[in-house]
Amino acid sequence: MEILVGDVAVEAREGEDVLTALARSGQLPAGCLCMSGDCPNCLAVIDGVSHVRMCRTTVRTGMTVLPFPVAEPPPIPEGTTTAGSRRRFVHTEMVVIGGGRNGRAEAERLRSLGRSVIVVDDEAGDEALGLYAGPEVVARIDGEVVRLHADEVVVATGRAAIHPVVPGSDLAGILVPHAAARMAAAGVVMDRVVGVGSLPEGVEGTLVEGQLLRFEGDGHVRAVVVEGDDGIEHRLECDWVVVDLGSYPRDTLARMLDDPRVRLVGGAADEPEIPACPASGEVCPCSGVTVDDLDSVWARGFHELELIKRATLAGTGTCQGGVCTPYLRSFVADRGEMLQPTFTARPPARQLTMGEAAAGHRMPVIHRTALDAVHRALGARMDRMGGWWRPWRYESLEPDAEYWAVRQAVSLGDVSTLGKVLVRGPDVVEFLEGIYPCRVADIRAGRSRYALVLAESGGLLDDGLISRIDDTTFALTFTSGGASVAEAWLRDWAHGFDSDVRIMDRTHSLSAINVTGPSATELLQRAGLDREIRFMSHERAPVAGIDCRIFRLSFTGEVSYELHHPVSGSEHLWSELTRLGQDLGIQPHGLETLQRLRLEKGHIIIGMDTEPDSTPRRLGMEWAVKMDKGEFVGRPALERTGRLPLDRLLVGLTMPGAAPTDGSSIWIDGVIGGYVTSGTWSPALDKSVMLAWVPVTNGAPPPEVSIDGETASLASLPFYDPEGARARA
Amino acid sequence: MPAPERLDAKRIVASEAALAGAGWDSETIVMRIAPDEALVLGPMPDSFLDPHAIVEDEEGFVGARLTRRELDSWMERESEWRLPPDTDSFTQGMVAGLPVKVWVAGEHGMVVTRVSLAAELEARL
Repeated sequence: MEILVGDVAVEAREGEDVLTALARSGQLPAGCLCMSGDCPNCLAVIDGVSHVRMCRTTVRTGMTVLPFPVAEPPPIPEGTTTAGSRRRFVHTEMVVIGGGRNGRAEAERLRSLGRSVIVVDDEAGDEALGLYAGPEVVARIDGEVVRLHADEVVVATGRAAIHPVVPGSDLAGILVPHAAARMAAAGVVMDRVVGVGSLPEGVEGTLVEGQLLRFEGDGHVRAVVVEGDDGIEHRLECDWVVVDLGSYPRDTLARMLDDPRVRLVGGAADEPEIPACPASGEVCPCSGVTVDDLDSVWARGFHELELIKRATLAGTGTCQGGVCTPYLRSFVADRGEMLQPTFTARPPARQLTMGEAAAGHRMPVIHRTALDAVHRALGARMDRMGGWWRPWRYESLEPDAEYWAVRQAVSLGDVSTLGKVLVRGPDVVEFLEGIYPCRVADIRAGRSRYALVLAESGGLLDDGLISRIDDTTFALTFTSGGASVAEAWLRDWAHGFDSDVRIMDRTHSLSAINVTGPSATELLQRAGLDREIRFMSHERAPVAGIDCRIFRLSFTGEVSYELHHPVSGSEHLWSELTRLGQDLGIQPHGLETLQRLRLEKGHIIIGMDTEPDSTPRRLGMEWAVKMDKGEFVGRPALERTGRLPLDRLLVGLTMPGAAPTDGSSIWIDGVIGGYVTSGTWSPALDKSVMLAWVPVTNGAPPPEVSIDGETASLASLPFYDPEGARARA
Repeated sequence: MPAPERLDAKRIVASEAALAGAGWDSETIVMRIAPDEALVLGPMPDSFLDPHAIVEDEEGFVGARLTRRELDSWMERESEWRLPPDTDSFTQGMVAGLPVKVWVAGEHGMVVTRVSLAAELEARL
């Protein structure tokens, strides 16, 4: 068969590895070759996959090979890179890495003890890619990425030949004994062979003893120089050199995980042979680190092996110290007179394609409300907010159409993402009094109250409504972003207070539609609502045939009803309200409009307008805190910080022209004194409105500030309908 | 794989003793999703020992019914954790990047997740 090496067709024999085929054609890569997968000297781009070891890759007809160094990295594959990549999980008691004599023996022993064993057998083509906490072995088996979860991992990877580090060791034609034996067995013609230390069976050549000094040649080795026992240099001309400098435990995989459940056996567990410290030459072929480089960092005070690794990048490359570790240790032992332990290795131990790395990986999930398909059908541009897909804007509508529908007619908004929690029990009032900084006991059944949620630091965590259902049952709402932690937070405090309450998170069980605008009440009457619901009250009643709990409130500044209902009724409810509101000018509104509406009302959004240390005082929301009630979460912090001078304040600002970008700096007397948390152009007020953090000097915020060179003026909140008459209408 | 369907269920939060002591019908599937919480498919007991129990109709979950073989195959591809070897079991955790509850009875199984993730579950089964 033929393979394509660069632009040259090369004959190859069925079943042999790529490196052997290249050697037979006289195209040896530079550097000492191990043919065991330990060194980085036979790397290539094979069929578009980079960093593949030629010695571990069997030839295939038509295979394309670009031996390193390559001019440029291979192109990123088009389309999905996970195509063809598979992954599976396997659970077993034991994983044995290594199919050699020791590995097989250990596997047999374990099986005889009744243990379930999986052997990652490199001789069979399996490749261990890495060891991770667990312990978990990630391996490539039959072309599939397999994640092996094991009780114990046995590393039986044997020993690797020590490579020479002398001048000229980067020439082609240098082999360790194992590589020479393999090439000879494969029929690679090797003339003028010199063996330093030993020659393997089947390899004919001249054997020389002594200390290896250097290789000579021009690209390919042409001579080897050793110093004999007589102290005389001996120069032997050659075309191949086989160098036997002993072996070192092949422990790269074991060095990836410090875990007592990872055990070395056989040669991998033997004491290492530390070679003599090299005088010169390239120690780390992956990163091109020489003895001079090591001396340089040593002189600068890097005397720990881990630090030398980081300072030089020796041991951080493809082979993760497989080649350089013995010499790095001998260097440190020589200079520091102490043998230091080896360093950590990092996966992967073999090349890994992006497809394999991504195989089976799942993107984080984004929740969809029951109205998700409705929004998309209406042409909504969906965005991910608070872990949900939410309509940002309905692009089929004219600009500002959503806004004016709320301000002048009626509009529907999907607020299903709000946190919804039921709390019930004999201690429920006492429990909620301890949670919230407002009064709870005086909330009558059928009534609601806006409430802050404080951290123990006194900073605002969240906000929402407390609605009393009956004597011992309350419905709580939280922001969409806070919903995910609300239940856990409540449960923690219930446990801490030893309160006899039951807590049920209904966030995903109930949908919610906000019906808002001057015509909202009329629309609900058309949909069958037969009673008046007062502001900050709630009732359970059918709307368009759907059983709803209706909360009368307002985030938009207009008459608003939140209809909480079972998810199965959402699409029907939305479509019926839309049908019934056609002549009222009904339109849906998305988050972009909602943020504009709430800003006109000066309502904060947690996390957008607040910081972790935003106390009610700094937010100008002390009206929501009753310090004359009993203990509640955050109270001690509020008492303490309340005695300190007020240093900054969230305020309302207005300015003519377009609103500045959220986060814009606020300049006061030529220095930055704060920033805009959120701003918008207000169509109703014909100016820009914003919330911003500003410093407090002499007990008051500045009356004017500069933003992007424009003057903004302090304004009282809310900007729109300050009396709140529209919401209560 | 069968598509997930919305479950017509009840959800109960009650004292552990009340949940343990309830007279469940033999046909009822009771998934104890927390020590004090159960997701229930099928007939409910007439009453609970806990007078403050919250019992609500629950539409917030979907379930995909699989054979045990289908379930095992899916778990092998998608789950870092294993199902218990027992014939009947109930487990919860992340599978295929989704928070799921896995109910197994003999050769039958059901993968349950929130209704808000129904499309993702269907795509990842």
